[in-house]
Amino acid sequence: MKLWLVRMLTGAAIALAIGYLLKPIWIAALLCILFYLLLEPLVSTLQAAGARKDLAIASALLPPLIGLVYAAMHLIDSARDYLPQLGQDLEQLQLGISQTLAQLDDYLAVVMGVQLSLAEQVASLELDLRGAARAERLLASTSWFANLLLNLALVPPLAWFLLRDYRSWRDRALSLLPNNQFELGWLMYHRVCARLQAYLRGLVLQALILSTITAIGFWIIGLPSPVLLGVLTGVAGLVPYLGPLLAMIAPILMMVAGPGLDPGTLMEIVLVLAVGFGFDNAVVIPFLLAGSVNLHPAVAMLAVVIAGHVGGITGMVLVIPLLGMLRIISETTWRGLQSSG
Amino acid sequence: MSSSQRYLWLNPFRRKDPAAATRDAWRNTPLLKDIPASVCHKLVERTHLRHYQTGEYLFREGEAGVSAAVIISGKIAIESENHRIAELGPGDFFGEAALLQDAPRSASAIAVEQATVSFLVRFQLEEFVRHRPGAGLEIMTNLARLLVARLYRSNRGEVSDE
Repeated sequence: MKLWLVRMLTGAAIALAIGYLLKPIWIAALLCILFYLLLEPLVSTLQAAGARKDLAIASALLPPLIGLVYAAMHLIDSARDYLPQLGQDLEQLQLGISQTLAQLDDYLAVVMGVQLSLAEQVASLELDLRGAARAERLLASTSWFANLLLNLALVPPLAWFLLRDYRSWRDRALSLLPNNQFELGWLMYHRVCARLQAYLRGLVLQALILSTITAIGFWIIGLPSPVLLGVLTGVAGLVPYLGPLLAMIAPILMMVAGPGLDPGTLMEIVLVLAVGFGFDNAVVIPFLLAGSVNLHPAVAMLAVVIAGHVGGITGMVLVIPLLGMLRIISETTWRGLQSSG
Repeated sequence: MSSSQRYLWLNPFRRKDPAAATRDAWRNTPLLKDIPASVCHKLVERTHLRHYQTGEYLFREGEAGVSAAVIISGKIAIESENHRIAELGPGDFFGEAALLQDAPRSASAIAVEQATVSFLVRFQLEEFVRHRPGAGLEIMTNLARLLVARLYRSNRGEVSDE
């Protein structure tokens, strides 16, 4: 086996092993990388203006960290207030789904003469949503919350060290490359980073813009918790191709759990999402994300579906930049190998 | 105190600075001409020292280049299409065109004897210029002067280093 192939396979194995070891703190790692990508230009600007490195990092890091702590406190408070009501709401949601499906059955029977008996079929599944909120299950989920809090607590120090020391870690890692791959390694690193940074920064801005537009829309049409629904829509919008469908789930569930399925409100929700995603597709994506990964749409769609099966929403969001990264690495390696004979 | 006595007293207690030779080599390049010593030191901290065996290529003609280099020790031959264009020694600076663009190397560089070479990577120079725009402007002006001088020599039919 050729030496370069052995090295690449070894590198991939090491990356996988590190990924496996970091599994318990993947949320912290992801947030730190996002903080780094978003704040590094600001730190550079502050340094260029004459600020010391530590001061520049502290000035850039403090406002988003305060925001993160505030959001976490607000989330904990809301969850504590909402928990007693959760079981009742879930029961209401189950009832709402049954009633909506019964209405749909009647409608289909009258208009199309079709008897699907959707309500009976769903009832036969014996879904017990209230059971999901029982004390023992909630207790089991506290370990998940503890892990989440641990991850959030790790974000400030990790982001600090990443902003301060990333470059020296990178230089040391790249200096381990053999002489004949030293320049190729740097070139590959630069191309991957440039694309990945542009893509991830674009994703964050895309989520913020989509969240803002849809939150305002949901507030105007009078849906409860418009900010939460806007944030969920922004996150769903990060999933390529399937985003608009995923974005419909939360507002529809909220509507079903509340007043029931109303065609007028449904149309308003669709309109809000159409405006949000229309702006997203017409303005945000062409300006922020166009050409940043250059994958064929069929490959991207297939990858999104497979990644969703393997890694859930996170996998769906990350699969496109990861594929783009792999493409750049393979192209640069291939060109490098060709030019070096 | 005679010079031998001074040597006896000073040198056993003086720490050797392995980076000093690299710093001096870079400070004497046309790239860092008239740049303050403190700024030079910060930039040289980002360079990469690499060791080459006799006959080992530093880079080959046609490969994508991303760095300029200064020879710290040893000798390096510059070759194009199997013709030796130049032989460079300690303190010589070459490959500076790669600090500006992604173009392929116009010649190969090969170690004629065991050599130590310090590389400055374009992306690190760009980061440095972003962090220190004042010094960065002077460095980039020096680089432009250097490339114009080489172009002028090339137009007059003189041999280039690379």
